[in-house]
Amino acid sequence: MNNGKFDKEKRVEVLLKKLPKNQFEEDKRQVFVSRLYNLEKIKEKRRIERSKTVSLSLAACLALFIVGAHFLMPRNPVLRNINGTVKIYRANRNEWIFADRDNIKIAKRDIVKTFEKGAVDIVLPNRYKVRLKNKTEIKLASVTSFIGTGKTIYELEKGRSFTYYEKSVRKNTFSIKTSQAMVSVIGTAFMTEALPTINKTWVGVLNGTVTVTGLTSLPHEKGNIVYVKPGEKTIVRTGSKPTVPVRLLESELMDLEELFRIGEKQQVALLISGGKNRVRELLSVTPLYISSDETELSRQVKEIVISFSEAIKQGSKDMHRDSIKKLEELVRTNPNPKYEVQFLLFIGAYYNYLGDHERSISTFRKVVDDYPRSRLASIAQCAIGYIYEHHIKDKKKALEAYYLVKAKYPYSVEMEEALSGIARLSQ
Amino acid sequence: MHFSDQELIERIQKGDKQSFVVLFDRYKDKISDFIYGYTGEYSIAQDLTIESFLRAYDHLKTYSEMGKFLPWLYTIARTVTLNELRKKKYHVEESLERPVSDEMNLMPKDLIEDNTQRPDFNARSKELKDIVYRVIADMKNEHRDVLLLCDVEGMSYDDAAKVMKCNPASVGAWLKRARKELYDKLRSYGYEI
Repeated sequence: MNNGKFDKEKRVEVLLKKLPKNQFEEDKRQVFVSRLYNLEKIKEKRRIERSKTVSLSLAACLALFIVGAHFLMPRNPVLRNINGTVKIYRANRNEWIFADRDNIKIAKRDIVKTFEKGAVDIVLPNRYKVRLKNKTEIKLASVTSFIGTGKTIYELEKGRSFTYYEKSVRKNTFSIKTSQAMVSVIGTAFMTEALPTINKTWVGVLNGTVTVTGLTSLPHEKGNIVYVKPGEKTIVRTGSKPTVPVRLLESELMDLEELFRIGEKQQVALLISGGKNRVRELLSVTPLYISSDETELSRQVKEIVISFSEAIKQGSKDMHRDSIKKLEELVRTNPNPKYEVQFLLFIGAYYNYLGDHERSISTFRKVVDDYPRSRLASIAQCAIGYIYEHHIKDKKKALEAYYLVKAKYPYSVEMEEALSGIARLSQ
Repeated sequence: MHFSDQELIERIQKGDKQSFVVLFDRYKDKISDFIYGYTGEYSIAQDLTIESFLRAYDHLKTYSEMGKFLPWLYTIARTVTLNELRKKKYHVEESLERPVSDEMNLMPKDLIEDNTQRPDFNARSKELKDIVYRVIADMKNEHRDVLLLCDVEGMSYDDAAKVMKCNPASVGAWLKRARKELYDKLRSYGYEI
């Protein structure tokens, strides 16, 4: 056998030609014929299956897109607790509209403006609440996405804003910017006041810490960023660094206490005016407002109110005492700083109405001692003086009480009443 | 009555499915044999033949290559088979080594030299074909293609080049190397050629 190159190739060629041919099986042929004649049906079936798969895939993609878009879309805050005149500048429509109902959404670049007697809360549920006081203008400069990433920046053009920042979200910053400063949150409740006419921004903090950065030409210069802690304030003037934080004044602290009430619906409120005669209004037994919300507290209070009405009908002093004891018991068993002051003032006034002046005074004293920073503490202190002066006729103690109003609450509405009492008793 | 490929195609294009069955019967053995060289499994080769013909039927509406139906069909069969091989690897599990004990085995040289005196020639030649095709199935694509197209199917270099989408000169070069490879492999497995 010749194993030369030519022979090798030739022999392979011959071998492959001589190999037997396979016979296509008849069964398989029948399969082919059947498939050929049903080709249209099979194609149609496949087309339907494919279109079903495509539809399902599209639906799944659409659902994913919607969910994704929902999470990435900006999450807009809304307006709540609108009081007086409030206007919104709609940036996309270039027009001012009146904010006449709750839950109006605020979009990026929109401006919210309050007037002489207006106030409103800008609320992003579970994140923050910004209360605008009267004559305030604020612009929503930047918004976070639904999942909370990004920057929230409000530009306070003028006026006062209280910020209550509830929840810190990763990759999210919250700031209030004025012409003079950038106030950034580290988890907190604070007040910012922009005073453009005197080129000044005031920042006071009640809870947590904020950083205040002066908007100078050298933002990273030493001393340009200050940390303002609870109970402290700083002031920033145009082009200057923030002042070193100092303790807030008592009156400023009282202002800041409003932060605790942002966005909350008052459940219990004494219906007294803000005028200089409000101590007399209180002692003539001021009506007590109880929210109509179906809470356990309101149900219990309503029962007591019914017993008060019954006491008035019957003219029974004992029934009055029973009712007031029930209310005292309710306050004792449901301690809550949100409405305890109002209840105590009501109880104190009621004891005075019943002629039990000593109990009345001790109740008012409890308010002064337990809630010295409450805006209603000055009323309680002044009421003590008023009862000593007019009912117990103890000039000395009356004077002491009035002097305490002068010393502790010099900026309160009761100051005038206390000064006139001092003048009367000093004659 | 005998119709040419072109006449049958024209009838198919007018909607006559039976003409396609005639074409199938005419070429099914060639195509299945060709695919067998890729898979090494004849039942799989038959299934892929059916797929190839159905694919060809789908594309016949746009077919316009006058008189070149068979190379076109090979092209489709090759594409269908290579796609299938890409999806599923068909491994030849058993060894290709010739069993030493099997002295009755038919040698390639018997076939080449027409030594057909043996009573079991037909059965043994089929066994031999299995061996040779499994060796071919294990070769690289170009070598396998040229052996099957040129040597088994007797196609010209030009037509084979068309099916393989390459230069006819390359077909010649690959064919030489493929024949040598097959020769050497058969000898290395113990088969006299």
